[in-house]
Amino acid sequence: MEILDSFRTDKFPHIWCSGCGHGIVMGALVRAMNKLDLDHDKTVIVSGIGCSSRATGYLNFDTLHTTHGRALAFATGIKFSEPELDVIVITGDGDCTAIGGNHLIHAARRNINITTIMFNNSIYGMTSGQYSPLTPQKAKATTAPYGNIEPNFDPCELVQGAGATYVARGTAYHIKKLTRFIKRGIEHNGFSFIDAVSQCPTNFGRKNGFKSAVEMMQWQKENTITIERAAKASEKEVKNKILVGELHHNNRPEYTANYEQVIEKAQKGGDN
Amino acid sequence: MREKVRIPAVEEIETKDRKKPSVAPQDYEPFAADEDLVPPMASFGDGYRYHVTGLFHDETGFPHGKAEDADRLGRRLHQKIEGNRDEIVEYESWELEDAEIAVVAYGSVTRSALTAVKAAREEGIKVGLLQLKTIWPFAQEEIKELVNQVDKIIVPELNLGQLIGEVERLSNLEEQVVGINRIDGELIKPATIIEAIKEGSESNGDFR
Repeated sequence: MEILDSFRTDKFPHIWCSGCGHGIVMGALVRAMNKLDLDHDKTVIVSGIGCSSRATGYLNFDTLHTTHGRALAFATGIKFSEPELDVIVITGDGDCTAIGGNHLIHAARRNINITTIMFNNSIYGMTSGQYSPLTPQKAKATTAPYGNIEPNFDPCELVQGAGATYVARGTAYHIKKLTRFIKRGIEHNGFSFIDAVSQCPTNFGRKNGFKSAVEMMQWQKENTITIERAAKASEKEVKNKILVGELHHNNRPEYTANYEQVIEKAQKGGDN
Repeated sequence: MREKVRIPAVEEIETKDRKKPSVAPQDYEPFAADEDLVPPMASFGDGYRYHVTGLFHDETGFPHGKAEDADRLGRRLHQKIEGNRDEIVEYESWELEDAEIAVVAYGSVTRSALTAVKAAREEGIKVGLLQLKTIWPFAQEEIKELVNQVDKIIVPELNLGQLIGEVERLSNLEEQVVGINRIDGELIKPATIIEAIKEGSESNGDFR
């Protein structure tokens, strides 16, 4: 399948600023879907609100650009009514962990077979740089001119704790790994969550001493450590580094499959 | 406070499927409406690969940030509702045929209102009840009829007066419409409504 078949090329140019990492993450998603040779007519991509969530408009599938934070709620409805569709969610760090925080933990708890890709640029970029639950402590934002006093979530630990069965983290810099994690997330039967660390030079970088998008990607390279390497490294080497890799993978019953059993039982008129 | 809910049998429920497109996917405009203002809608997975957004959009479903798109969409959606008001407006009425006094209720206050109306009827007072089950489109025609028929309309509400404004704007008579309002967390008791009903009937046209 031609990679361009996945795009609505007549909708370009996209809205993202120059240097934004979101195009790289969207590219990783498209490459992953392409490798899996997903049926374009049977794949639905759902997004919330924010810079990341505009990606659905550029992708040539059935796409749904929902209200703020609610991508997973809509996606749950789609998957529930048509379990044979592949459902992929695109969301941002604010959309996913602030406004949509409840939907996130309950989708993970239910282990519904949806793949969520969180475009994580640590800021509300579209609205000019308010801090999100993933803005690092002490980082500056328009709403934190003296530095953010709030500790940030580790979103991967959050969803793992809530019950997600595939959890991975990549970055715009680690593009091949990111593509692989998204591919595995889609293949996995259960709730998959991929934290895709991205850069926002316009509304995060400028306030936090980054002179360019390249510097921010350099930061992604230098401040991360792969899970394989971390296993062998000293405590000092791992300290303050962001883990990249497949962080969690297990199997337990999937939500729509469980529900299918309830439907069967009820239709047979069995006891409840 | 508990009561029964009756769930109709499957065969009693009419299923109406949404109109589906008959054009080829490349010619499909998901928000181009037919004459009835309802666009045929493909299901996800049907192969039409279209986009749905909460942003204002044109007939193709994509946002372009144009004021005229927003205006056209907003007016179509509004007209779709207003043009089908007879099918959407739902209400129930009790004892209104010969009523000289009416209670207009929406929501949980209907329980107290119905008890009050039945009790007042037993005492020979010509009072009826109109229960609104939908709030928009507003049951304008029904309320207009009521305004012409009865001397007094009582609107009990668990707020400081919302529905009453809609009823008042259809009334030409001063003080024809009176409210009973409660916001202390307690329910409006039938006795309070009975009292308001009697105030009207006993004073024979002098409403207060």
